[in-house]
Amino acid sequence: MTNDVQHLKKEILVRLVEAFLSDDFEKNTRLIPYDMRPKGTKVPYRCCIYKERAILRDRIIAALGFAIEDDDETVSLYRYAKNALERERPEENPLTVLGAACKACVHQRIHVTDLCQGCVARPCHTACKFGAIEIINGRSVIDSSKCKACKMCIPVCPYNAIVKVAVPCEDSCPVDAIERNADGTTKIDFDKCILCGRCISSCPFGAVLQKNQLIDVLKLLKNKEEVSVLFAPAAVGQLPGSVGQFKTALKKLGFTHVYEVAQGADITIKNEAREFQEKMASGQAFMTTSCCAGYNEFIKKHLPELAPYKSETKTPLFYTAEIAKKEHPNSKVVFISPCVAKKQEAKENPNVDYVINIATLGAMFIASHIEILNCEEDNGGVQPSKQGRKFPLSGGVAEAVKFCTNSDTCPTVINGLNKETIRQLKKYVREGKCDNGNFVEVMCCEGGCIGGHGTIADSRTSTKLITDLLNKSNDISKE
Amino acid sequence: MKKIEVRVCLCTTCFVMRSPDLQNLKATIAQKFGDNVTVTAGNDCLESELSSFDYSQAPYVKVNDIVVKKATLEKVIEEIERQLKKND
Repeated sequence: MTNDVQHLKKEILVRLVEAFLSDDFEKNTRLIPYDMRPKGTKVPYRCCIYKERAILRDRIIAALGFAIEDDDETVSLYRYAKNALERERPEENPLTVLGAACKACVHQRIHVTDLCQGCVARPCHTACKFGAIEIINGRSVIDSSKCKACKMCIPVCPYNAIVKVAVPCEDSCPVDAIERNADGTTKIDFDKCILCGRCISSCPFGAVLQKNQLIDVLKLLKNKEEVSVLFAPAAVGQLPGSVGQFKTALKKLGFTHVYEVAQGADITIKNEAREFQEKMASGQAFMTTSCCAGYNEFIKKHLPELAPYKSETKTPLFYTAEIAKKEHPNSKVVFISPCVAKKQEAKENPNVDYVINIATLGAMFIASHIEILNCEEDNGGVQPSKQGRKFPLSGGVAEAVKFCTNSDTCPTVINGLNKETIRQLKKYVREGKCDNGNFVEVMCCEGGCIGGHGTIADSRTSTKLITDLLNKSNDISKE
Repeated sequence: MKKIEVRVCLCTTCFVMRSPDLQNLKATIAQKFGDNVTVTAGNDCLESELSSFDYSQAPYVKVNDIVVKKATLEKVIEEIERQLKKND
């Protein structure tokens, strides 16, 4: 559904990197909307070329790392590019909404379409427990003041005449963080938002964007600063080539030191296994994982009662960043992430300076003409374990802890936070126990980190590529 | 019947710009067309064969001699079907 949107976003990123690498970044950034939609060309999406360019301009503002909501239309992209270069720190709240692209979808509701035949059976009328369906002029009509959107009327209609009018961003948000401005466009309530990124992936107009830290990272590389790059285990399988070729490609971009975050995952596994055994010995009924940034945000903002059950072990990123800072105290640290939630984790960790996602990194490779498959293998550095490298696949963390603990470990997995699984977690808290097991792995994204919105490959491809790597990796030592 | 050869490019540009459905091209095509179509993939980007390689038109997939720009599964299948029909 969102292929064209994803393609467009990636093209903008490539053009922005090209502009950065050119001899006049500000000027060439200003020209991107005109280069993408030259005079006289076909207008693919909007009413006219001027609106096309205006929306492209807004997308570039987000790609430069600024909030579109704060945009003063009189400020040119030239100035924004300059401001991005002068910026010392990334902006707060990593998401921004492109109001001009937002369709201001009508509120979620149940609607009877023209397919209604006004049948005699009237199963919709019978199915509605709230008396919200009346027959007017021989057709079913829903009284919105009575309708609870239970959707019971939808499957019973023999003509498929009743539909739920979808609002993709609202539908996908597991924590009701999507609000509306007076004009109906989307607004994100950051007091509720857990940065799962689902609104970014789900909007067919690409109206929710992240404020990119791309320029901040490019600046470091251009200034030849010492930079450690830490890549998430999910990055493997997102781009062509082996891990060794990927490391070489990162160095070609200008990164000084390269770390596989699976290295930190190995520390997480051991600490979490130890903690789990201690907690079970002390009589605690269950423990949940703590490595998913979206889940950690969820607990903070929506279910603090679950916090005592959450592991206190730090994330793989935390341990890897600690190692990187210890080994290279003066280096800046950049994390290649599959999701936007890690930006919040990085903000709270002084050892991580910037976060960019895998799609952004891909754009850097394209603009820099780096062909990963032609890079030499770099097999130096620490070789993480099979278990550490399996963290991005749903079930990987649970399996790793089980591997390092005794037979009493009974893992269970929450594969993606949604309304249903949130109800499940609330039940665990309410009852003080988990019927499905004693070690609960919670992944905000379905499928695990490979399902993060900042990834490139689909889950089948990335699972295959990660599995290939696992087959070449050794088990973690149990000592 | 003349066989159709589909070549999928795995260069960085095509990989990054690729639509997710294209990553399952091989399996889908095998299921749909059986032995009539062979799919190969490699890092020999079609860049060298194009007069002007433009990343905004990536990913590229070649169906016999025809280069499909901004390739999606649907576009590739459409081109295969067109060529199979022509061969009949």
